[in-house]
Amino acid sequence: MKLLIKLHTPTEMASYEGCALALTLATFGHDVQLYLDAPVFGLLMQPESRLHGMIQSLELYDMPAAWLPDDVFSGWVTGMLPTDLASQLILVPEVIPAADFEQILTF
Amino acid sequence: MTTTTPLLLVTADPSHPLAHLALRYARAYLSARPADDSSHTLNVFFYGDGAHTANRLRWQSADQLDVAKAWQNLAEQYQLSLPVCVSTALGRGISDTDNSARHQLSGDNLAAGFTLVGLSELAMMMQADGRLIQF
Repeated sequence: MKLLIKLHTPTEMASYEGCALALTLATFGHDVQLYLDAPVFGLLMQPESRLHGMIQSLELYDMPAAWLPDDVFSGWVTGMLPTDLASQLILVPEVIPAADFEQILTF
Repeated sequence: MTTTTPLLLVTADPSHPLAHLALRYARAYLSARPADDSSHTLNVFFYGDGAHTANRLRWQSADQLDVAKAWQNLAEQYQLSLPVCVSTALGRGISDTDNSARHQLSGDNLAAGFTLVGLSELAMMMQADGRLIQF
């Protein structure tokens, strides 16, 4: 199943649970794309947050780079993050191929 | 004609309108299927704040819908299983006897009919089904 999982809620638990679901489903062969919305940037920047560590390991799960909103804040946050984490992030395509996804989940 | 078993991913707190909508969807789906058709059942998985549904100690005033009780009734009527992600449940203070013993927690409060399972159960359900709906 091809899924888009959007992380929006700015709490450690919600962002962890959304990301944990994404990694687990990827482990079981599902095709998962993460989208990190601006409210979770604060957690992404905290090295001790679970979100921070899990995004760093996306490649280990054969997951594509997580999408960020295409705005100035994404550019700012990418510049503030360590290189290994920033390399796992990419700006969202100008046109999101929503029809390609069988479901979009939001956390 | 092929049909796929819907999988309801309930992530909303039981006080959220979406939690009520999930219940209404389940009731409508199950009551609409032919009486002699036991093959097309419904899969449900409680995750995130949806785990609050399985809290036996969650009190509900009489003028409000008791979502947990409604799911229990539905599960009994249609032989549904009510799996709840164990880590999201434990993170919200909901535990069964086994997990309480494993994590040195005093007491347990998992409502009857619900079971704590790993997230891999959800991944397995999704491999078998083509329709996933988040509430």
